[in-house]
Amino acid sequence: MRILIAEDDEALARFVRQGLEGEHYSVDVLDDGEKARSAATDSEYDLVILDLNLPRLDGVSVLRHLRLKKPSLPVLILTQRTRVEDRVQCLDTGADDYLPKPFSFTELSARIRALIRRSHLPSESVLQVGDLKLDRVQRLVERSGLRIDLTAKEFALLEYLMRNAGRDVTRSMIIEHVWNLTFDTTTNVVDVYINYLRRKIDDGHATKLIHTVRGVGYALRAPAEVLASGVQA
Amino acid sequence: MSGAGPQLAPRPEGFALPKGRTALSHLLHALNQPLTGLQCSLELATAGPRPTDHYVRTLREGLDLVSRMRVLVDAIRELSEAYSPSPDDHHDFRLETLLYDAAAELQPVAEAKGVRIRVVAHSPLPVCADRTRLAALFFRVLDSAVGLTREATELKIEAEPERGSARVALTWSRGDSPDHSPFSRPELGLLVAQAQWEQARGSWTETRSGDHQTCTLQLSLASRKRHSSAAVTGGQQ
Repeated sequence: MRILIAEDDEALARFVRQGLEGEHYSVDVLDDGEKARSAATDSEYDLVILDLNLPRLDGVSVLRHLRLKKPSLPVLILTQRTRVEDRVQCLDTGADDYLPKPFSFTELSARIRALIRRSHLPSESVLQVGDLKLDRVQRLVERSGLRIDLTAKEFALLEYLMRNAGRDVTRSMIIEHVWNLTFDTTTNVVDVYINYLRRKIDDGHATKLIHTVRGVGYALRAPAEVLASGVQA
Repeated sequence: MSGAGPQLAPRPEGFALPKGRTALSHLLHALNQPLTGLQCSLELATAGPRPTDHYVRTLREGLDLVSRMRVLVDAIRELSEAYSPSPDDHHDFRLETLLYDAAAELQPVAEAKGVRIRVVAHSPLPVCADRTRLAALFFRVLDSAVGLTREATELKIEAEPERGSARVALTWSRGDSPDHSPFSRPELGLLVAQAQWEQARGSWTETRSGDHQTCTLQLSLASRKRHSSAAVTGGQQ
């Protein structure tokens, strides 16, 4: 997997590069918008991490260009802003995800994994992980053929976990995508809802699908993936 | 190296941050404390060879200080953004529906703490405002209030019309002061929510009586004429 980082803060770019190389990505760093636009257009990348405030050509212009030339290339925006409307504007311009600074490397890494995986998946109306099925159109959930009743929020949470099945998702990612909020909550609302979901999805089943990933957040994994990753239930 | 000024001394119990733009300068001062701690600990760690456990301790303390700074930086950024006007997407809707929605979503969290959220709203409160923005704001206010409410008590939310305004009063019994008070996440959450609410042309007052705290939020009701001619959305009870 090859990632382009377009970031003019040398120290930040160096840390991110070091972290991603530690996770076995191949990483290129460019410090201005024009170079980033050319490289992302002419070379094959699996993902672009794009700072909005770049010299010579701003990030939004780079993004607009990329959306015309490479519509399916995942782009993660780094920004200083947190307002909902800023996030909406970024996503409307064609960004696939948005991460405000300051961020933790764990958060960035989880989002990159989710984005790279999403870009390789078709958009299905029925999601399935092991014996768990979620029909996004009929809004039905069943496990081992038995129907499970979920509240609207529980359904949205499960759908998000299933869309990212096999990948770790952080609490911030969940809050942002399921609750549509752009701030860190005071309460442990995500943990409480995950517990509710666990009771409905995993209780009474020998194989647990929802797993806590210490220091990161949660993951929904099919049994074979659990064996491979060694996460704790 | 910057020193800890008088603003950085431990706050007396019940100290409240000044509101409005003055809060920004207090937050910037508060940022000096963990920043100074981080700088000093890094300087000490790199001043000469140290045992491994010293580096490990320095790094752990550094992460704690960074997370404190992050809470402050988030609040500073959100306050600054709240004071920069951005386009609103106004719609007619009933304000009390947002309260019911936020209360329902946070009820499980409150229950886990033994806190009961009680919403009392007998009359519709039609307003014309940015519904998405206010929904996030009410979620934040209730989330912060739940975080500050003493275990096994009640968070009461009363919503009623009052002289052409929608009046929402949240009352709770304060639990023990959170770590790093008044710069804890729930207290800063209320501070940011207040700035956002005031930018939405609402008024916000806070009163304390003993360990009881009340936040009263008011926003003009939508005019009767527009209310009767427009489809008012919502209506959950």
